[in-house]
Amino acid sequence: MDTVSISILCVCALFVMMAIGAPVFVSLGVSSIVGILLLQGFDALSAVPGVMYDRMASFTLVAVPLFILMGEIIFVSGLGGDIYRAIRISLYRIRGSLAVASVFACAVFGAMCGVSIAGAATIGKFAIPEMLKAGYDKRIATGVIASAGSLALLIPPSVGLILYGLVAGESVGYLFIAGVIPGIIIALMMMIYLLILGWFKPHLMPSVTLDELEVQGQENPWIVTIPALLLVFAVLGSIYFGIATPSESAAIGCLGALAIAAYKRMLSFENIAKIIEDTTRTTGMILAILSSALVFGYLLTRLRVPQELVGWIVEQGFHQYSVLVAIFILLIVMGMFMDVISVILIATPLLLPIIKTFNYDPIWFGIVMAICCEMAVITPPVGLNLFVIQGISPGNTSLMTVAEGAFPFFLILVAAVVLFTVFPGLVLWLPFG
Amino acid sequence: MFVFIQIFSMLTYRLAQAAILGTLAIVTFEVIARYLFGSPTQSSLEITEYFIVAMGFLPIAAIYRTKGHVSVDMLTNLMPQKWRNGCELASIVVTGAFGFLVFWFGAEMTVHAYVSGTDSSSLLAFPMWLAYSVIPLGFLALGCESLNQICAHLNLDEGER
Repeated sequence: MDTVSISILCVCALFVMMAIGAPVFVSLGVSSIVGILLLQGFDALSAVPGVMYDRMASFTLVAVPLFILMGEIIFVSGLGGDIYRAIRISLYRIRGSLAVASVFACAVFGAMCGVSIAGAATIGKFAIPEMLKAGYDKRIATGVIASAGSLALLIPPSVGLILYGLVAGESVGYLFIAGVIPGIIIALMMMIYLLILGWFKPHLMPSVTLDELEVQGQENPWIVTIPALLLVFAVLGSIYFGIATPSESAAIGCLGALAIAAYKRMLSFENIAKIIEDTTRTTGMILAILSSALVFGYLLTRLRVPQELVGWIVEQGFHQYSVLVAIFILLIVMGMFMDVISVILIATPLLLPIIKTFNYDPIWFGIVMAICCEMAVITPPVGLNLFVIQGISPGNTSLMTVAEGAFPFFLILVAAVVLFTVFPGLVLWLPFG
Repeated sequence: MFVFIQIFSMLTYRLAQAAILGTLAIVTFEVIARYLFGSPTQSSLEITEYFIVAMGFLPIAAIYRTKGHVSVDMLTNLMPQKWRNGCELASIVVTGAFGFLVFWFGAEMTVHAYVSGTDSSSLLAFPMWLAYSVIPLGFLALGCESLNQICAHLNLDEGER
C-alpha cells in the first residue's frame, strides 16, 4: 500500500475512533498502530513504547505537572475570588466595573494557572452572581467570564504552550515570554470593549455603589492579592531573566502558592488530598494524549506527510495569507470538536512545516495557535468554558446564552489574530532572556 | 478477579501520585541547592525524567475507570441508546486491545533492558528496566480495566434482556 493511502486510512481510523467515543489518546494510539502496521509490519510495533518513552522523558515536561499543581493549590485556596474582590473594589466607579474587574482577575489568575477552566470556574463562582445581582445582562455576565477565563491558554504559564514547545522543539521559556504582550493586549481589548459597551448601553451593565458590593466586615482582599501578584512576578520574572528554567520556576510557584493557601487556612487534609488527586488526573490525562500524539507524530514523519503537504501547497502556488487563513479556520474548527490539548498535539506536527515554509516564526505560530484555542473553548458545540460557566451560573442558564455572550469576545480574538499576523513584532517584541 | 484489577489500577494510580510529590520535592531541593547553596545535585534532573514518565503511564487505568480521559461524545450523544451501547462496547474493546498491545511490546523492551543490564549513561547508572517498566505496568492496568468494563457491559446487557 502506498504512503498516501496509508495516511488517508490513518486519518479515517482516527476519526472513526473518536466518533465512537473512544478516548482521544486511544484514538491517536490505535490509528498510529494501524499506520505502522501497514507501513512496516507487525515487528515494527516494537518501536511504539520506545518512542513514547524517549520523547516523554524530558525535563521540559516536568513543568506541566508542577504548573498544574500550582493552579490546583491556588484554585482550592479560593485566591481567585480574593483577586476579583480586590480589583472590583478599586474599579467600582467605572461603568461596567464588575465585568472589567472579571477580565482583569482572569488575566491575573491566568498568570498563576495554566488551564482555562480553573480561571473561569474560580472567578465565575464569585463574579457571575454579583454581576447578576447588580442587574447585568445575563449574556454579558456569563460570556465575559467564559472568554476571559480562556486567557490562561495564552498568558504564561500555559500548559498548552509547554506542550507546543515540546512537540515543535521550541524553547518553552521563549514561548512564555512571547505570550506576555499578546495576553496583555487581548485583556486590554476585552476591557476596552466592555467600557465602550457600558458607555453606550448602560442598561446592560448598571453602575454599582460601594454599599452594593458588601465590602463591610470582610477582610481586605488585597492582603492576599499582593503576595499573589508578587508570586506571578517571581515565577515569570525568573523565567524571563534566565534565572530559572520553567520547571524550576514552577516549583517556586508551588511553594509560594502553598504559603498563600496556608495563610488562608485552606490547607486541610481534605484539600491537600483533593489537590493531589486533581493534579494526578489532569496530568495523567494530558500526558496520555501526549504519549499517543508523539507516536502519531512519529508515524507522520515516517509517512512524510508534512513534507508531502508542504510540497503540495507550494505546487499549487497558494498565497501565504490564504494558507494562513485556512490554517486558522482549521484550528478553530478542530477546537470546536476536540479539547485544546488534542488540537495542539495533533495539529502542530502537521502544520508547523507549512508555517516554516512561509518563513513565519514557530514562536509566533505557537502564540497564534494558543489564541485560536482560546476561540475554540468559547465556541459551541464543545466549548469547554461554555459548559463550565453554564454549570456554575445561578438559575437556568442555557448554553446558547453563554455562547451569545461570548460571541463579541470571539470577534475580539479574531481581531487579535489579524493584528498579530499583520504585526508579528507584537508577539516577538519582548527580548528573549 | 475484579477486585484484583481494581487494586492493581489503584496501586499504579497511587504510585503516580507519589511521583508527582517526588518531583515537587526533588525540583525544590535542586532549586535550593543550586541557588541558595551554589551546589547543584548530580542526578536530580534525571530522576524527575523517570518520574514524569511514571506520571504519564501509571494513572491511565484509574483515570479510564472514572471516565476521566478526554473523548468526543458529541456524535454518540445523538445516537439511540442501543447504538450508543454498541459504540461504548466497541470503544472499550479497542481500548483493551490497545492496552494489551502496548503492554506486550513495553514488556519486551523492559525484559530486554533487564537481560542486557542496560543502565543510564549518567553517573547515576540507573537500571533502565525499572524506568521502562512503568509503560507495561500502566498499559496492563488499562487492558485489565477494559476487560473489567467489557464484563460489566455484557452483564448489563444480559440483565436488560
